Amino acid sequence: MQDPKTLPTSGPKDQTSSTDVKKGDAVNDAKASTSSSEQKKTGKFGQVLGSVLGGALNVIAPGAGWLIGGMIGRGGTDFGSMEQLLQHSAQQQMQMLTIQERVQAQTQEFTTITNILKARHDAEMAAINNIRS
Amino acid sequence: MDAMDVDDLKVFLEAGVLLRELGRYDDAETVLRGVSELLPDSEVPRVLLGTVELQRGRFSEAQRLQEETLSRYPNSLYAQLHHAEVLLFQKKRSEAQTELKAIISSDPDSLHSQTARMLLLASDMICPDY
Repeated sequence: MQDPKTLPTSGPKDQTSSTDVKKGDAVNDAKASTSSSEQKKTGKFGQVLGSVLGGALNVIAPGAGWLIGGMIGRGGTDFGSMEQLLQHSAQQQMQMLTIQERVQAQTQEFTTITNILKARHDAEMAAINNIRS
Repeated sequence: MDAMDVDDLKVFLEAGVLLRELGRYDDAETVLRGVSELLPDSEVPRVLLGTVELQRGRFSEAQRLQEETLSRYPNSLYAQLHHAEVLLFQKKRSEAQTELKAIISSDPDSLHSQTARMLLLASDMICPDY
């Protein structure tokens, strides 16, 4: 059974009227149906393209890819959601900076502890070796 | 039983340090107590016993042992260092820092002074000053 979505819409082949008005209507109908199907194809393709491009761009500039991918997927700019996207991107970058700072602080703590343990060990070995009979 | 050579006792002391680092505190204590009986004139095994208690988390007992050792060997930088260390863990930051600075000024090039400098740098981590 054929998928209803693939059934052809009324097109020029089905039109048999010989009058100019009916012919013009048929041509207009054909143009409208073709443009709507093209728009559907473009919309779906745009969504796929947007998601792929967005993912690739996110590797280079986190957040920017999502923004641009979203714009392509919707077929244009949507200023209301664009502000939200920008805000989300800024929040993500702030979180990333916070994480980086914490990692740096932890690394510094590990280095300090390592230095203490090494100095302590050296001092202990020196004290043991300095024991005289 | 033949008297043990000092070099053999040094090996036992190192064994005690290793056992402490492995977390085998009871074994470390046994070894170090034995060596302290065989080396009555040295502060090293007594200080090491104090460090075992410190690493066990028994800070009060560690402080008591280090103070006892320091009273017997007041000129020992090694004993002073580990006494200051236990003061840091007891949150007595100002006293610890005073002792550590005194160690550094008395012999700036010694290994004990280097450890004292490291402990001073780590004061904020061990004993935060809120």
